[in-house]
Amino acid sequence: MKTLLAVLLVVLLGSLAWPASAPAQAQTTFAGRTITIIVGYPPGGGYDVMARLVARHLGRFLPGNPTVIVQNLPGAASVVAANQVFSAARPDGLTVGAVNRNLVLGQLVKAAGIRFDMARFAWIGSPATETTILALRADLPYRTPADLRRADPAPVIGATSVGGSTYDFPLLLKALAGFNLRLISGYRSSGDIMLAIERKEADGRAGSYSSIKAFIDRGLVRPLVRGFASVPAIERLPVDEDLVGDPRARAVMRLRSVPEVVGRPFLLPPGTPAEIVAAYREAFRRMVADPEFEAEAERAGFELKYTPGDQALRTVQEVLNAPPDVVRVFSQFFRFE
Amino acid sequence: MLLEAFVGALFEVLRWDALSFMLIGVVAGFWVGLLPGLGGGTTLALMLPFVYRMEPVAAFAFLLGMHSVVSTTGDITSILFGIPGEGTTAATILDGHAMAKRGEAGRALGAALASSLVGAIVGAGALLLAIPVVRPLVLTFGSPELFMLAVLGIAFIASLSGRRPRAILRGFLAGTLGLLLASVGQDPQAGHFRYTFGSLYLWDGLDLVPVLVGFFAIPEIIDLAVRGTAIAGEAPRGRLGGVGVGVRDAFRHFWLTVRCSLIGTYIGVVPGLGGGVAQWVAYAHAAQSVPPAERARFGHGDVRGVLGPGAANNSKEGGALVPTVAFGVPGSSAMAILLGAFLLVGLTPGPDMLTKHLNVTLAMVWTIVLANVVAVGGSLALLNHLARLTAIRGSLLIPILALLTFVGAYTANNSPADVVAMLFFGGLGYLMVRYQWPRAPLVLGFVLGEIAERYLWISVARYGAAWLARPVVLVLIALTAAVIASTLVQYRRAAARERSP
Amino acid sequence: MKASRLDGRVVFSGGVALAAAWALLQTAGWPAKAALYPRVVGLPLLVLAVAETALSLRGREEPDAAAMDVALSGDVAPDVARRRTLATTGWLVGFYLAVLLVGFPAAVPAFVLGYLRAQARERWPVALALTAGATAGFHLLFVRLLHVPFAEGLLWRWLGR
Repeated sequence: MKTLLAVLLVVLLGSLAWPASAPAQAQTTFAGRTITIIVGYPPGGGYDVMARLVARHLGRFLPGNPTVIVQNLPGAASVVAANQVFSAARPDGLTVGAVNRNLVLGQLVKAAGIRFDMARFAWIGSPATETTILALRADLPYRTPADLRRADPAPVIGATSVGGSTYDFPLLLKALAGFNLRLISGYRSSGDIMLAIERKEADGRAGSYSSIKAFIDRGLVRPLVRGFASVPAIERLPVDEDLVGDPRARAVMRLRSVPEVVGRPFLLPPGTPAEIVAAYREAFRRMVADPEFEAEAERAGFELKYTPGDQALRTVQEVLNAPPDVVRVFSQFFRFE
Repeated sequence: MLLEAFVGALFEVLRWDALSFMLIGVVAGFWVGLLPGLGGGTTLALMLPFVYRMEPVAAFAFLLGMHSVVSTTGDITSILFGIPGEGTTAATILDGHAMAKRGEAGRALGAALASSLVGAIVGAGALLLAIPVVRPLVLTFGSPELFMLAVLGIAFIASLSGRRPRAILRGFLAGTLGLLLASVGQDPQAGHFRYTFGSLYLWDGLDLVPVLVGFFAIPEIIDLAVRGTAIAGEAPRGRLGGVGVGVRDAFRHFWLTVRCSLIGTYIGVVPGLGGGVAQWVAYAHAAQSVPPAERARFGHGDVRGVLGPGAANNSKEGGALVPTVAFGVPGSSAMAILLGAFLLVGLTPGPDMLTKHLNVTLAMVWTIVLANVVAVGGSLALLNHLARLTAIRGSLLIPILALLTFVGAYTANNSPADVVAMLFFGGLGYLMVRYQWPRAPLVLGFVLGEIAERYLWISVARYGAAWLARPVVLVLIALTAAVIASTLVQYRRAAARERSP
Repeated sequence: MKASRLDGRVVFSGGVALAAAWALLQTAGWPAKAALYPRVVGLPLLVLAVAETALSLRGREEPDAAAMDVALSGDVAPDVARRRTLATTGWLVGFYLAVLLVGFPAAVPAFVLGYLRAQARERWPVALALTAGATAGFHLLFVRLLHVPFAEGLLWRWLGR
């Protein structure tokens, strides 16, 4: 009996130690508070590196100079994290989600397990653009899209899994733009594909420019085609949708590419008060323009380009309102992963 | 030229700032390895901010200092408590913890630490010698070769099972169960969800860490409660001073330790096999190297069962550095973070690291060696005190062990579902121990199953049937057959010998 | 030859056999690429599990068929062992339920204290000291230093904190 009482007492005390949320503030300030960025991926990947980069600098630009920390909540390509920020996090501005840019496409094709609505998040925006390119080993004779249409034998394009830009991008090029490619999926990671390329087991790979950049600079691969979203370094590459004539095919390719403009989405839970969202957007805008932040981001391989939240939201709505026939064709090719 | 660079790199590492950062890293790594629940990956990521302002050699001294030590101290937790301190130190539990239960904790700890040091040094040495041939070496191992390596690894199941045919039956049973469990999640080819019951948690498949932690820790905790004694039971207290004996064991079985170090290094070098494999293959090799007459004790407290995995899980780290540095392809998740650090300090991993920036690469090799020397040297003083923990009443330890197990499972992915998985596999592990199904084959099957499936499909898609005729593949097929045959022959000979007195 | 015995060993291997059969049945209707590997692995699993179940049923047990693995200690009387096993299992499951209901930070001291007093029957000073130490260590390391996110516990959510 005594033990039971003791245990109950301990439980109550323990839960009181749980930080309670502060009462609503009259004027937006985060002084003395801690902001948590929830990243939908494990440590080390691009989203995590960006989130930690933001965490190091954002506090300076938010009113009250709060501490910003990062927590990893990996699972199902950040669906778990997005679900969490959507329904479980309090809309008090202390929780920020850093999630997969393709979640809106997953929502579009009604992928299983998605319990959020991308259009209802309070969008802060994205500090960087990501863009997908197709790159082939530099010692191959293919340099232009026309080369790839005529290619014989078909170059082998390695991909990690059926969903994801390593697979979708070349798939659309093959199916809609007539490229002669052989897609082989199942590699464990994009790094494995690069090794396969060096071994000549694979001939090329599609993926985000930031992850392939180091290999281009080294001379291992050469970029050939890019998606709609662009960064200055690859501006002059042919765009995938320009390579098809059929308007619906163009729309499908555009649909795949458009979320990449919002390359690193940062979100607040739905219902966050407008002043808080505005404070975040302003802080992000100033942070992206800050020279220190720029320098570190550049070293990490990111292309900075701030897309404000309202613009990001419009992009999301554009995707979600795509015409049904385009969505139907798109769903044939796109599996959310 | 290489020798010059080699010695030059040593002096770079011995510079005051690099050395002090390495020492800080070693201290941090000591705790990371010791505590299940502090994963090397997460903590490396936490350290990244501090790395920004350092020079390359100092930054790597810090990160590598931390990382190299993790497997060494993870062995300590595995031996003392039967809880894997790290995913790569689970194999040390089988014999190491059994020794602890007999009051030989000090000896097991000494053996583990000594073999870790040998492993690190041999691994670094092998790496050094391989630098000229590293690129062609890694490039030879394409998907067909990796598939065959996975199959070869699976063939080792036979030697991890036990001596009698019935034990081998159960070993294969456990192995195939592990292989099947590896298929939970999305299949790598069609993206189809297999055995996920519609749950988001199982989308990505079962995660190794919570499974391992529950699988090994829960049966030990239950057994400790049942025995009602200290971990070391009623064993005489005097044996606790066995650290020196353990260290001498490592040198008594020196060639075994070296062989297992080499196994670890080369498994680490080949990207795609993953970290969990090296320790089990080394353990199986150690089992096979024991003459059949003495094999009965293996798995129940033979020091060789500690030496093998102890050496391999350290040498593997040096090996994993190779694809990271030479190709820019991380050999493990901790290496992925290291790679990020590379880019941040302005280095481009790739062939340049073996030519233009060879001094940085060599400095890294030295750091691994020195960090291990420091860690082992520093720990040796503590070992006797740590070994005394096995004399504490079990009832005091159980809640702490349970706490570490639960938190360890949770912090793998910050997911409560991982705790459920941990308990489920804890139950499975307990039942397997109770009914004498060996657990090592299940872990091996689980780790290798995914690799085998992936690379099989890629090989078939890429080469049709021609991949079977590739030279390295043929060699590996022959090796696999040899492994299975030799195990069976050994057992038959032992059985025959026992039948005729 | 012993008479057939239906005991835990049989139930366990029979259970694995059933699971293997279920797994194989599930693969019907999957795309070929996804189904191949589970079938290739599941079939031998089923066969081996059935064999093991049959052998256990016949009571055939070889001496020395010990697995190359740890063995549960045999020095304790079976009924005492069973009682303690069940009790420990209960405590572990209880710890999980506590984590679910009140969250990790509150469940940790509750579990440690509860176990030490109720199960281990330790004296108050020892129990409290160890609880305090464990809780402090947990808090400093995992909450303060590493910022590990711990969900707040269903009970508090229901009570509408």
